[in-house]
This record gives sequence, structure tokens and C-alpha cells, in this order.
Amino acid sequence: MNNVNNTYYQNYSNVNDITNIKNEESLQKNLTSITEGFRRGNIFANLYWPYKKQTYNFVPSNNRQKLLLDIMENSFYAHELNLYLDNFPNDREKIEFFNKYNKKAETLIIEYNQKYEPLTLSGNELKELPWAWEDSPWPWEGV
Amino acid sequence: MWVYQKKLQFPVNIKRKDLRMAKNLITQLGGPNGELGAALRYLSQRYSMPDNKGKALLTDIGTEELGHAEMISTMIYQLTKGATVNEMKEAGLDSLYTEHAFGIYPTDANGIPFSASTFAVTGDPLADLAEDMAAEQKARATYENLINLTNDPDLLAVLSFLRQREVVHYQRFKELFDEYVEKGLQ
Repeated sequence: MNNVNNTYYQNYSNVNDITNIKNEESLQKNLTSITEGFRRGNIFANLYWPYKKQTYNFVPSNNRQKLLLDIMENSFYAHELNLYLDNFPNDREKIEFFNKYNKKAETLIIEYNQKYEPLTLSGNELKELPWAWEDSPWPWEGV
Repeated sequence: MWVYQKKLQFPVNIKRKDLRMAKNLITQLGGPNGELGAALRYLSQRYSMPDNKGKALLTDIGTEELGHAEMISTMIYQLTKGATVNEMKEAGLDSLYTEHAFGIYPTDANGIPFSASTFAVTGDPLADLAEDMAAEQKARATYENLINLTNDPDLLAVLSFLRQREVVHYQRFKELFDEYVEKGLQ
């Protein structure tokens, strides 16, 4: 058990070596880029606790998958900030970040709804026959 | 209320059928440290939190856990897709097939159905949050066991993501727990 724990904590302290921080996010030294945070499942560099090989690349095979991945990344970033802000509601900078990525995710979802099929029913006008909500792939069937 | 988005939180695209892994993985849907229990635990405990901070955190993490239950179900669907009855038999899943065919039913890895007795609501915020912290650590440990049981990168990517979510949730529950202790809130 001791060996396992040592490995954890070693990785924990070396985490900054593999952090890919982009320009704007470097203002927030503690935050990863949206892509890196999404692959890790954790946008907070100081909380990252890897086990074995922890991150995997996604290569979208078409534009639809690429847009869906963009939506997932931005939604995840906003969600992580949401949980953080629940505990630290007076962090103005993080609120601005939340608004930015939440807005971005919403814009991309509307774009996806219009180009491909509805991800949401709210804010989405369905004009075609048949009813597009049921006539598009379900998440477990892959997109 | 809740609004559904027709997407997963994180992509699940498993191309290799693996019936044994499906049998192991199902515990993270319906087992004692699974995602369904996590969602119901937090969404049930939130009513007795002493302030808006606690109500918000349990609502938001509980909601995310519902999405994780969907991701685990998706993994099981894809791991068993196209399996024949004979393959199910050979993988030792004939008893599962007898009860559920190719349907997805929340059980633990030994086929015991999901039960609310796997979690508690004490009405005491410190007791509940201490349970939540333990639950996140137990789920993290279970994900590590599952990671040790496979080499499929399609599966590892999702398991690693879900495991890391336990790490973040643990931190958030601990922050709230510590704050409540400091404030003497109960």
C-alpha cells in the first residue's frame, strides 16, 4: 500500500510539468486549458490526482463529432467552475470565466441543433416531419 | 425539475465487445459505490442542508451523477452489443441473460439489484457530508480496480475521467464539511 500511495503523491506534486496552459488561462494559473481539463476530468491543476495513464486523445472523424466535442469541453469547463463557485461564491474572476464558457457552450448547442439534430428541446424550434427529437441518434448509440 | 440534453458528459465509443468487463462494470451503475446511488444520495440529502451553499452543491453534484449513470449504462450497452446467447453463456453471463436478456438493469457485479440501503440520509449535514466524502473515495477505489481489469483504451479513457470526477467531488464535499465544522453549523 505504501508504494501505491507514494506513487500517487509523487504524481500529484509533479502535475505542473504536464499542464498545458494557454494564453488567457495563464491568468488563472490554477486552471488547465479546456481541452486538457476535459481529457483529465479535472480543470484544477492543484487537484489533479492521476492514476496510471490518465489522459486520452479524441480525434473526431467528422465535423459533427468535432462540434459535439467542443460542446462537451465548454460545458464541462463551465460545470467545473459551477461546482467551485457553489463553495466560493465571491470569486469574481471565476464567475466571469463561468459566464464565458457557459455562453460559449450555449451558442455551440444552438449551432449543433440547427446544423444536425436537436441536443435540447428548449430554445429549439422543430419544423420538420417526422418529429426530430426522436428521429436522431441516442447518446448510447454513438454519434 | 430536470431538463435532458441528448448527449453524454464525456464521449463513450467502445468498439470492442467485452462481456466480462460489462459484468464487472455494472456495479458502477447499481452497486454500493455506483453512480445511481451517488445521484440519489446527494439529491435526497440536499433538503436538510443548513444553507444555500450546501443545497446548491448537492444539487449540482447529484445532477452530474445522473449523467454518470447514463455513461456507465452506455458503456455496458456498447460492451454487450451484438453478443449472442452462446457468447453470454461462455462469459458466465447466462444467469444475467435469463433475468434481463440484453436489457440494462442496475445491479452490483454479482447481480444483486440496486438498493437504497447502500446510502444514508441522516438529516445531519456533517454526518451526511462525511458519508459523501467516503462515497467518493470508495467510488475512486472501485474505478481503479476496473482500470486494472482492462487494456482497452476506449474503456480506460472513460474510466479515468469518471475516477477523476470522484477526486474533484471529494474536494468540494470536504471544503463544505470543513466550513460547516468551523461555523458550528449542524
